[in-house]
Amino acid sequence: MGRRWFIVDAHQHIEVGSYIYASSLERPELSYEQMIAREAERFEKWFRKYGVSYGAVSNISPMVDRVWRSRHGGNEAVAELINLLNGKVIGQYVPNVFEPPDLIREKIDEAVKKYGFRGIKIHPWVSAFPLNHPIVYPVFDMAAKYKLPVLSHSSRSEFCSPILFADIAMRYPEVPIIMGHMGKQHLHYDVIPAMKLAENIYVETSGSKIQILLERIVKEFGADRVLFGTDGPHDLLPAYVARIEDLDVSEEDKEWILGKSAAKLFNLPKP
Amino acid sequence: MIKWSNAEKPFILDAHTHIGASYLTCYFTEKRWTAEDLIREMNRCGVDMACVSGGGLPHEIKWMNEQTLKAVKRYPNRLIGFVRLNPKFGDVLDDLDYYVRDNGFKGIKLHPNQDGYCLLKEPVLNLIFERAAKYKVPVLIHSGTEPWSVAGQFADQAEMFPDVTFIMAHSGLRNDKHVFESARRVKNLILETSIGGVISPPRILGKDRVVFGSDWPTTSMRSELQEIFDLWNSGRLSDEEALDILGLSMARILRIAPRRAV
Repeated sequence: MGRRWFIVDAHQHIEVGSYIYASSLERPELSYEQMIAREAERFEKWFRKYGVSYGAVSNISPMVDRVWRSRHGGNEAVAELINLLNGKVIGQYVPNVFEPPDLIREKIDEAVKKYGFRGIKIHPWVSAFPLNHPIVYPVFDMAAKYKLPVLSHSSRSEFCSPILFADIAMRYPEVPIIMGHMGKQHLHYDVIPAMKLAENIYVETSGSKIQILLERIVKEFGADRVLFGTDGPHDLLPAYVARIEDLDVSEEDKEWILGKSAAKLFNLPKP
Repeated sequence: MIKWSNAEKPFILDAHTHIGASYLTCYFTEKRWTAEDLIREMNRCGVDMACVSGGGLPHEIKWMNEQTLKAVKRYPNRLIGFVRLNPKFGDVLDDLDYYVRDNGFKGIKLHPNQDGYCLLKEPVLNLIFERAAKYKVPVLIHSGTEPWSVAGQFADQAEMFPDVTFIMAHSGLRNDKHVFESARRVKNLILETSIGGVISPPRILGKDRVVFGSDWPTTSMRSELQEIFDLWNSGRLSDEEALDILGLSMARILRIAPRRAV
């Protein structure tokens, strides 16, 4: 990396429980406690190695499992990480949109008040629901109540194309909605029109590599609507930062993308 | 700048670059990139050589092939010409002969998504692949967009034309398992890393089966290259694997001597 930046990784995952492509026949060799300890060590080392100040973390497991195996379906692991990593982890709660609306609300209440979650993560592709379907409304009601940004996966999947972001964002203008991967590699032409429709749409940079698209977004909407992310943590952080450094935008814009935009959105103190 | 893993900078060959534009840039900007822009970027990133083809809108293809030829003649030690062919053009085989047989281009670039055809058995593609075998040049093909060019179709083509080296640009734009299993079916299918990253290390897929490409100017060449170094620095790639991916494998595929220029 060319210089030392203030970096907030707005898109990270803990690996405890089910994973997207994993077979249910696979059995973990570690106990739950050992997995939490392993993940805490992995995140802590990664933050230190790459000089990243904060990470917004969710667990894949509650997205993958349609029927949860515990009250919070694996979000508990993120709650453990929040406690263990001393303020560096911004917990992203993954609700189960297939549960009754009152139960969804009750659990998000608990996630915020009891466990300290500060954002919502949903994955319409993996969980198989349309991002703008009424079953998601209780989630956005709670996001509005607690001022929680909602990060959603986006891609060419019929469940989370950029136009669905615009639809739900226009219904909930007070909720910041972060378009994870900004349409990935196929729906790049949809991102800017969606952002034009709703000022509360932000984009997160992991998974998209088209430089000219990001430059256009910064020019049209401002760098404070772009959040840096890795979908990690992983060892490609220098490459992901290099991509931002190489953008044809101002140095101040790069500062916003790499850290200040997420810091503003999540009310993070600069360390 | 990129920090090399060892004291000596390795040989780096970018298997996928464009002058003009790429199909991903040309609907966002009217900007066109020149051979000088490409050489400047290669120098900045430490890239010694690059495979280059013309990119842009459909009506620009022939003009961009001419520009690519001029660029290769201007920078013969740095740039390796790939002819961009559209099978729907009536004179596509004449263009293939002109650039490969008569002007020393070392590869063919196809873009099923942009030109609107499926990577399946069809007469004109068959003729192109037969000539690729005859001239012993690889075919670099855009991948990852349904229904035009997905990984399984690459494996089908590679089975039908075992004497042709097929290079899957972007490694299928991820969808890792499908790409990996498709690549495992055949030996003459190479995964190129731009945008898609390294799906599989060569120790699993086989030597000379993964090559670095950036698809510049779509992406940041430096960032795409840094990904290979990140994997190397973190121990996910061995020294031999990293050096092969960075350039030695593509040099062997092209049957050229690796020449450091930066």
